[in-house]
Amino acid sequence: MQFSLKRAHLSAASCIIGLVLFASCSEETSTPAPTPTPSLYDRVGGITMVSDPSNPATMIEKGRLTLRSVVDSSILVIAADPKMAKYFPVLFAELGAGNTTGLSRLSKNFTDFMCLATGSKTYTYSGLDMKAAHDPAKNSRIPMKITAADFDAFVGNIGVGLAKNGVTAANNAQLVNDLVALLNTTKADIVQQ
Amino acid sequence: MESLQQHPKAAPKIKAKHYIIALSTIVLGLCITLCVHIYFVTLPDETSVNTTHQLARIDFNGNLTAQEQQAIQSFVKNLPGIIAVYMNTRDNILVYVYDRKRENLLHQYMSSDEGVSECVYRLVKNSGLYSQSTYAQRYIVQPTTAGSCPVNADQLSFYRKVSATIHGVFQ
Repeated sequence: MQFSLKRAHLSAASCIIGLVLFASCSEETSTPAPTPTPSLYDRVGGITMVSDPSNPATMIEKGRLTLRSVVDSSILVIAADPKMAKYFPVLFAELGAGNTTGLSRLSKNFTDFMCLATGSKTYTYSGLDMKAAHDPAKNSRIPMKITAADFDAFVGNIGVGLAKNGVTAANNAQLVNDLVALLNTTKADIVQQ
Repeated sequence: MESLQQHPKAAPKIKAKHYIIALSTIVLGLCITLCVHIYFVTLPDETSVNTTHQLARIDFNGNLTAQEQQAIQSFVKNLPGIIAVYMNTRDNILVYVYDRKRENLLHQYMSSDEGVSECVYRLVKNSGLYSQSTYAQRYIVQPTTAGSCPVNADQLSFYRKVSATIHGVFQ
């Protein structure tokens, strides 16, 4: 009887050791799930819903709110840039006549484009693709082809728009660089001369 | 035998009642669906918020000092109804945005024949915040058939026109 008890104890002990070994082995062999890299959209606020300061009755994704603020600030900067005025004669004429539809649509379309380009899954851009949109032959609303120098000036204006929203190369170089790199991916389509 | 004769008369009444209840339920359901749809369609979305924002520009021909630029910017920013101001310090160009829904806030400064941009321009010109040798000018572009920003291009699309028409019905 004593013998059989000893055997039972030994069996139980070996089972426990086996389980511990198995568990420790399985911990070593299982690879941790890779952390998904946050998109640019996530990094500027993502899908967290916040109250829209322009209209507190509505909610807006924080990522879109950030991008819209940058776009609206950049539109101011672009409007004050004499190099850019030649591309916006109709918009300025509409505004002079009291028609603000074009301005609000520009803000919406540009924001939609930035949301989509930065990785938003919520918003879509329904405008022309960049190549067609900047080709006077395909888009009668663009008066002339855009030069490389003016494209660079435009990217610089977006940088000023970012700075007006508190994002500068000094305090967030990575984000500024990534956004500028994103804009530069469209350069080949936009600059057509 | 008598009860058997009554059934055929009662049955259509019950059937008709069922039909009326079913029909009423369907109509009520459709009405609720329509109301919910109208409610959500007419909710102000964030993209329609800025439709009353107006942008205007004043060009200063001459050299403004940094202090003058700052003073002009602050002066315009503090006018009631002005939402945002930006001064291109390199080219001495001032751009500002105001909300047309809040134009009445500027009425105390406006003469009867003035719009907001004329009023702001006059106030800036008479502010004495910059040297008289600098000439301020409202930036006005005459209507033209030339193009505009390409990002704005889809407003000509069929989808955009249909969406705008439907949206207009509910507003």
